[in-house]
Amino acid sequence: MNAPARLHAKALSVAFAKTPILKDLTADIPDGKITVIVGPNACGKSTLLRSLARLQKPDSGEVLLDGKSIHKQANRSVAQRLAILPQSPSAPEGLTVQDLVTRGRTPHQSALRQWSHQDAEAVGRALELTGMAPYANRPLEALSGGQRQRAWIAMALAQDTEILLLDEPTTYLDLPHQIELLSLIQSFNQQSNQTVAMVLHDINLAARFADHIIALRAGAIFTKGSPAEVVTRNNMEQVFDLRCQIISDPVHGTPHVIPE
Amino acid sequence: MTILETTSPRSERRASTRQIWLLTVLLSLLLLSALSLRFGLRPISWDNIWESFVAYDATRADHLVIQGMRLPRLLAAWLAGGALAGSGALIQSLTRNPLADPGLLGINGGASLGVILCIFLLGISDPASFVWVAMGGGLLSTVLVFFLGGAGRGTPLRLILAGAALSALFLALGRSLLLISQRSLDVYRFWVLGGLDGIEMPTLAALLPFFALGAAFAAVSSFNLNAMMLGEDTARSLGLRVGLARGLAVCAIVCLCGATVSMAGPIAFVGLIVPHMARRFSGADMRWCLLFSAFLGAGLMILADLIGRLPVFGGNMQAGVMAALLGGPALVWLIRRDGSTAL
Ligand SMILES: Nc1ncnc2c1ncn2[C@@H]1O[C@H](COP(=O)(O)OP(=O)(O)OP(=O)(O)O)[C@@H](O)[C@H]1O
Ligand SMILES: [Mg+2]
Repeated sequence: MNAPARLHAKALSVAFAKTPILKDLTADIPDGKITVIVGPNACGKSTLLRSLARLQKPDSGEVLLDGKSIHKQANRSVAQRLAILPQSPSAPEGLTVQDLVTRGRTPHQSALRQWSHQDAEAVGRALELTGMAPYANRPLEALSGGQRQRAWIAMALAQDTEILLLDEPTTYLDLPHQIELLSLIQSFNQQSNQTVAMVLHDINLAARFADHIIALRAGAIFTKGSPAEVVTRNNMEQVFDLRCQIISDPVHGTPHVIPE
Repeated sequence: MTILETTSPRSERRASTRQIWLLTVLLSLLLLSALSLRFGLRPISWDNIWESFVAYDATRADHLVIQGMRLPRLLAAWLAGGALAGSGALIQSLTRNPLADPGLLGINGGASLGVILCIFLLGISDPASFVWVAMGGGLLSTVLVFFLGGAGRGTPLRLILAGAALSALFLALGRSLLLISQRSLDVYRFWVLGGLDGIEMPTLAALLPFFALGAAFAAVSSFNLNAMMLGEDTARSLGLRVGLARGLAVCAIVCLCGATVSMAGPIAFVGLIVPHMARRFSGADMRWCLLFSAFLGAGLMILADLIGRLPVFGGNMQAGVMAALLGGPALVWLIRRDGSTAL
């Protein structure tokens, strides 16, 4: 490791009602890369992501953003650099897609200066990129689960941050839309060098789209590294209790898990 | 990305229709205001109304009625209706509870107890002196509720529960005092029905700073609440300081409702129902919802006051009672027509 990453978890411990969920966890989210966090249900993936986004206060340890503790920085200034889409966000009835995506601009606005040319541009671009422009005036409850998911992602994109955290962005999406969405995220990452960290459940998609994988087990990092390093027969068995064969994806050359 | 669309959109809302509706509401409000100057126990001609503004003559009865009674009343109705409905919109969005009423924060309970104590202990019966007691009681109890509810860190539910508990306590305390003293009951009964009788310009002028401050807090809060309504996590990740935003919204509600209750007594229902009507025009944008609520609330109060003053009702039906009589059925009709929209 050379220069420290902009987003860094340092000896993080989180407990709920005395049950430790994250145990002394230290991790870098490499700049300009796509990091995917994998692990079985309830192993603490969302808790890690929420801690990285200052939504969860650690019991000990800290999260450093640009070298300073994230909890000691002005919330608005953090929000201009880091966006997170939580696992199951909720919206009030009647909220339109346009309304929602517009809310993504909040950290760039203030009560006194509420709308600018840049805001309009960022909202338009986010709607365009996620394919939600035709539904801009539609209330969220009148959308399919997948469309709704993309509306939320559009909101996070409109926030226009250098770091983007996503908790299971592909839930509710069918396979083609999962691929489409992950390709979209990949293109952001490649074009604007956006740092992405996300939780994914599909290990094969993780292997295909990630530059860096963090495998969690019971609140600690079991292993991390490139997909080829992490997605191995031995690791899968240890992390997921899954007996499997690993083949090489004939199209992308990334490791591919075939459960036994 | 494309997703095939087979069904037509259920409801699409465009900003331009919202502006047209706002204009319509504003025009109706002006019309209602004019009518409320003209009619009452006896109608006064437009000419006389106009003259009372441009060439006031204190020896003419009509001028006295307009400038001394109907105009202060009209302004009070504007302020009370706008403040109650606006803070209703704030509290419903703040607590994410469509049944929340600004009275839930304990303002009305505290104000009532203040007034009862004032009558009971000090023997005061002049309504004008209730203004500051009611204000003080309302402020104090809201501060209590806010801190019992966990200050900026509590959940909306905790805030509501603290408010409900304290309100019930204050009301019970007040009632037990009233049971002891018949004379207190007589004075209190008039105050508690909520009316705009006998409000004079100096009272309005003294309360105006509170309304203004409340309106300013509300304007800032409407921006914050737009993010808060997406849930606390999302609000925080959008850069909002959630505790501060919550405190600010409570300040707005206290200023607006405290000033209203001390001016016109506790008026129930306006704060609960008008925001629901407003949301049909405004959609989920808090800034629009606040504007529509304020104007519709003012309209409802003026209308209620106007009808309550007609000779049919003996000229003194309390505006608060009439507002509930008008607003209740209107809301039921709206709900039956197309189902309720939540926040
Ligand atoms: N607010 C909370 N209060 C109490 N326990 C919690 C809380 N949030 C999470 N937990 C517990 O912490 C553990 C880890 O939760 P977390 O949401 O991080 O899991 P996850 O890895 O994201 O799981 P999934 O794959 O199902 O989303 C779980 O056992 C959960 O019950
Ligand atoms: Mg999770």
